[in-house]
Amino acid sequence: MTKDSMYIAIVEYITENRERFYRMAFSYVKNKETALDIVQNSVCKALEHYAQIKDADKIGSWFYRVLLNETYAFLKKHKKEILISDEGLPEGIYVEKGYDRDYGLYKSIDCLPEDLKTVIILRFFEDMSLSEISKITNTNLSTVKTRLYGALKKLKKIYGEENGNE
Amino acid sequence: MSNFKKQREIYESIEIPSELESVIEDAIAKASPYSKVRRSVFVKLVPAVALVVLLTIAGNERMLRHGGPDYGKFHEGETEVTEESEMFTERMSSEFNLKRELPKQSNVQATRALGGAPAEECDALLDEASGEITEIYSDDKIMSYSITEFPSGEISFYNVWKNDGTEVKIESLIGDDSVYNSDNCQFYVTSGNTLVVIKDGVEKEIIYN
Repeated sequence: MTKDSMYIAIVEYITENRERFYRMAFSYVKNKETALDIVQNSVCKALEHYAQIKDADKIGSWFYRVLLNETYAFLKKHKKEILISDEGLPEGIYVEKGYDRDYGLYKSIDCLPEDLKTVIILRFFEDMSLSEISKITNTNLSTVKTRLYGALKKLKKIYGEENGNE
Repeated sequence: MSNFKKQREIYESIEIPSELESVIEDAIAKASPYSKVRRSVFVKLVPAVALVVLLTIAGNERMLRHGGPDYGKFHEGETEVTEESEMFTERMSSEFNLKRELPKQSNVQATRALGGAPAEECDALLDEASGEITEIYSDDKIMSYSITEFPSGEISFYNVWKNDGTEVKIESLIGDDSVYNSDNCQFYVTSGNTLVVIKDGVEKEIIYN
């Protein structure tokens, strides 16, 4: 694949999956403007360094990694400014009546440490395989498995505590 | 709990803003190496420019109300142009020109001057940096580093790391108070010439001149 065709492939991939990237960023920062900034910065950085990618099959995991790094960097820098409200829903999320219970579990995911939350989002919301997650997070497969197990265990605990150990 | 079906529905119900498409298009347009303007920069810049324009308008109106500016008017006791003022102007302009004409240190020179890896080695390693870099950072395995400042004010951070006997190279372009993410590490520059490198939550500060 030539450099030009790789660039085009990356642009196409980004354009086709832009909504997924926005959701992913938003799920961490809970703010529209910030999520848009993160997506835009990720796109800029990815395209500026597109020469790093040699294999078109790796565009997906590579871009997700850029996006996650950008998100983590933002969270690190603005840790004190990001307040996740305990009351009501984060901006931009619509929840039907009767979803309270499900939303409780969804909200519990936000309580997880970033690395565990990432595994849950990628696995269950972005439908990624464990090996894809290991490429995106730059960790080995067994670490991903451990994190997934740990995340589920923690979620069970958090959700159980919030609901009086139902 | 294991299939997260309902939670996925909630996740997918995150509203997609109408601006997303244009944001992506802008990013693609701005990704050219000749244009480094980010949306965040633009967002910060617009209010600043608006403020300057407003202040200028307000200032002009105020001056008009008070009879206009008195630039160029000479008050009693003042002379038009003195010898001293001419000499001062000449001295200032020559100093200014001298500063502007100072040659910029080339990247290669700066890299060597700062004690980093030889420039040729850096370039060679830079090519090798593509692809996946794994586990490249740990506190005690830094081999060498160098920082080069470009005339544009951007700082390029070249770093050669050693991991289990293997040298790898990462490159990042960072500006003051900005954050850049490499494949594996994050860097940002704080005030006081300190570069902070973060890997897996571990921070290391590098002070440079």
